[in-house]
Amino acid sequence: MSFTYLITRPEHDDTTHYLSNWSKETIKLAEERGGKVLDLHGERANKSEFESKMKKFSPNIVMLNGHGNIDLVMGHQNQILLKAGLNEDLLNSKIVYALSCKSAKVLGPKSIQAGTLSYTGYEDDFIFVYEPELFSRPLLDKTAGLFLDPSNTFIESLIKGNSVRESFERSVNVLKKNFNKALSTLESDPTTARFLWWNLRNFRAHGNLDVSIE
Amino acid sequence: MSEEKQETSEEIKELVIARLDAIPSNKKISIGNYGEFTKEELIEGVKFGSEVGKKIIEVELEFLRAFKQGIVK
Repeated sequence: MSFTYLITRPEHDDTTHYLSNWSKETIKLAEERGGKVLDLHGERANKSEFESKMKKFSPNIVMLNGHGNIDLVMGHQNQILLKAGLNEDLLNSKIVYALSCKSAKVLGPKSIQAGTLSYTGYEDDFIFVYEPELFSRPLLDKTAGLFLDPSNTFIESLIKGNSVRESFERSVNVLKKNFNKALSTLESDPTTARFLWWNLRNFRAHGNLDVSIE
Repeated sequence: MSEEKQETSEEIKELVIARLDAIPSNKKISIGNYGEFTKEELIEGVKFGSEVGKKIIEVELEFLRAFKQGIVK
C-alpha cells in the first residue's frame, strides 16, 4: 500500500516533548508499512515547511502535534501552522488527526467545508498526567502512556488501512479501558481518571468517517 | 450557563482542592495551552481564581456531574 504520512512534532516545552516522543511509534509503523514519512520535527515544524510539504507531497494522513485553539494549530515555538479562514484548504482531500487543544471545535468543521476528508481531534483542552523524573525517557512513563497510547492507536489504525470510524472506535476503547483501569486497580493512580474522562468527552471526528488510505 | 463564569463558591473550591490534593506529588499535569503544573500549583490557581484554576474547577465539576448522572461508571 502506497501512502504518505506527514507529522508535525514541535518539541519546545514539556507538553510537546511528550507528544513528539510518543508519536515516534507511528513513524516507525508507517515506515514498516512502506509509507513515505514527512517528519516535521522541532524547528522544522514551521509554517513555511509545513505549507511547502503539504503542497508538494499532498500526504494521505496528516498528524498535527502541538498547542492549539478552537480555530488553529501551532508548531515550533507556537508558530501558527493552520488557521481557519487562512489556510485550512491545505487539508483538502486529507485524513487529519490533531493532538492539539480545542481545534476540533472550529478548525475541524471549517476544514471539512474546505474539502478535508476527515478531521479528528479534541473540542476542549487535551490534558495528560506525566512523571517529571522520566522526562528524559518519556516512553517509559506509564502514566503518560495512559493518555498518549490511545492517541497512537488512532493513527496506527489508520496506517493499517482501517477507516476513520474504526480507528476512532479503537482509540475510544483504549481510552475507556485505561479509564476503567485507573478507577479500579490498586496499582494505578485513580486521580488520572478524571483527565482520561475529559479527553474521552472531547474527542471528536468530523467529515466522512468511512474513508481510509486503502 | 457555565459555573466557571460565575463566582465559584468556597465550598466548591474546597472540594476541588481536596480532590487535587490526592494527586501524587511526583506527577505533573499538562493542561493544553495553560502549561504544566504540579498539584500545588493547581491548588494555588483554584485558591486565587487564576485561569487554570477556573479550568480545573470546570474539569472536576464536569467529572463529578457525569459521575452523578451515571455516565461515568
